[in-house]
Amino acid sequence: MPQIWDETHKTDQRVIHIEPVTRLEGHAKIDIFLDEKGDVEQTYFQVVELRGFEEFCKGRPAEEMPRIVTRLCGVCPWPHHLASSRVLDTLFAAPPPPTAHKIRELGYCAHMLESHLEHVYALGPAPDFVLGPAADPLKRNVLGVIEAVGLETGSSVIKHRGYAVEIENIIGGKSTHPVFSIPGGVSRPVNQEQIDRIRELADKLVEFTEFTLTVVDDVILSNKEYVDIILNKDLYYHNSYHMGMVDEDGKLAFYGGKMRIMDPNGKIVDNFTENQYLDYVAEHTVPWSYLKFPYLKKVGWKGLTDGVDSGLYRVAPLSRMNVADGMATPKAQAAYDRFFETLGQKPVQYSLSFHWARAIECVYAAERLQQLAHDPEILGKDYRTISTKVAGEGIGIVEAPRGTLFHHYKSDDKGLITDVNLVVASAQNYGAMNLDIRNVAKNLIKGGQISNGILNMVEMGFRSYDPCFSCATHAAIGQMPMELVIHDSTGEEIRRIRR
Amino acid sequence: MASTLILYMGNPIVKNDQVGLIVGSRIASFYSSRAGVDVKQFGGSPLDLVSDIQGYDRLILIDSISTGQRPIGSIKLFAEEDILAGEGDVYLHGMNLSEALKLCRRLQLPFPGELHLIGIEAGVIYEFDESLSAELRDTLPRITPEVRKIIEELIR
Repeated sequence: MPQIWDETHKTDQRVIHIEPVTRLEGHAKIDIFLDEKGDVEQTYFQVVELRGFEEFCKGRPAEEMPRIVTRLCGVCPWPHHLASSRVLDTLFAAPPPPTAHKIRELGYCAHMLESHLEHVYALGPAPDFVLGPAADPLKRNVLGVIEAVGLETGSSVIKHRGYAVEIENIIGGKSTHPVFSIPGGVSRPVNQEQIDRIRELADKLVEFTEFTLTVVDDVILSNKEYVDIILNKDLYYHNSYHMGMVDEDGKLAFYGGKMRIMDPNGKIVDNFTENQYLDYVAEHTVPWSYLKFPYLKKVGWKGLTDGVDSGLYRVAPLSRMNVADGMATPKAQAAYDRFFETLGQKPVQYSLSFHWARAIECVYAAERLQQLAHDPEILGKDYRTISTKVAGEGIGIVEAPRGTLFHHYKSDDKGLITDVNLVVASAQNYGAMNLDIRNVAKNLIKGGQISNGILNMVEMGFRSYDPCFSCATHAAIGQMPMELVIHDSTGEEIRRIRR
Repeated sequence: MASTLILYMGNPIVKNDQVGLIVGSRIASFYSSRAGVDVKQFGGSPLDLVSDIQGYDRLILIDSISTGQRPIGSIKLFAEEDILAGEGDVYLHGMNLSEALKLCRRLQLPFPGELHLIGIEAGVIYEFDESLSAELRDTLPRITPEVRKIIEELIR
């Protein structure tokens, strides 16, 4: 049985240290300020890494960018590679032929799948829900999950994720840092032998992703206490806008679609294409974090608050499902219908339901792999448009596993980069993570009473978004130290917890 | 003869973090025709590592370390117990090396019986730059032979 709650204690220390916060990519910390009663007055989820990637890129040949950006971090190389490629399609005035788009999307579906599977089983919901938020922190990890679910399931996860990685290798040339996408298309076609193997793997992946949905059912949805936590509007819940990509039929898309924005009342308020993004998205800086807060330009920055008057919005699996009219594949559509039947009308605002939405996207990614692998055009030989001029500017958008990713470059007439801006998914969810962490901390920490489980539930406020702060801060570095710092009402640090 | 996998890692656009890549690629040229020794660059998820190391008898990792307590360019060899205890740990995107290796064992995968990590002290590594610092670059001519000597002793 998962351990959901544990005994609290009142700290007699003046300082609490939590470091690092676990199962997160990048660098961040949480500060919790308590009032004189020991209740939470304010929280800050701070990203503490230095920026500098944009400056690093200036003066470089634009065609180098798709390979440079894959080094921003090892978690999001495919989204950066393809967003960058889409920029260059425009910057070099070389629209890719349909075969190239389909090859890109096929490789990308494999990436979405391997990234989502890793989060579901190793980093996010499995450790927190299979073992429980209050489980021993030393066991609340992938090893503990395997102890709980058994070796057979653990081995199956490794094997099936490996199938997705194999497809990435076939299409991308390299799995982690792909090199195949170039301005105007892709560097090589796909042959019959490769596509036969991809079809075989895709069939197995569809079956495994259906199994993953049953795991979500068995572990989370059939546990009343978990459902109560998920549906508790005082915890992981706030009323935000949502943004995501849809295809030409309004169905959820990862690549090559148009953007939609839904307001907190469920109304689609805007649609836009890549070259219009600056009309819709702006960024706000704060003195306490290196990460900027993107917000909806038409609504405006109103601070870290929710509601229809606040320009804060969310991206990633839940948001994509909210803005979409449905899923383009049958098994994912059935799961989508059940999701909204269970959680209510759009937009679903329960933040922990990101995990369920992520599992549904796994089904979609696997089914979409099947579709693309059986599309005759995937074997086409017209896979690249040769550029004949430098247009000097381009914008690329893809849906990364952790949400919408914008790349925007400008170049001189020789194609040398003069300006770069990246708006990454985890930055767009940064405000939402701050709101959820604040809500959870305020409602679970009372009178200075804390516990291992409560502090982990504070961390779960960001984990549902599967954030990656390496590329959010454009910093490309190693381990993410994260600490939880609790201050008293005078601002004095009373406890710091590090792990 | 025992089979050895040498994995080297680093980020080519992050200043001194790339030293593992530079040294590793030079090491790879030494062993390109040596039977029983595979040298590969690694840069993926911990779950990729779990797949990549299966079937080898010995695993040797080459990476930068940043302790701030040792001279830049100095080399420290970490033994298996150090690695599994998390000392000189290598971070692999949401999971660390020791967790990934323990995962292999827990899943009863054909896991290398011998583990070593060759850490190269790199000083400050968190800066976008395609060049090594002058201090580390000056030590490079002796780092590669020293790493190779350690490897030779390990696989002898």
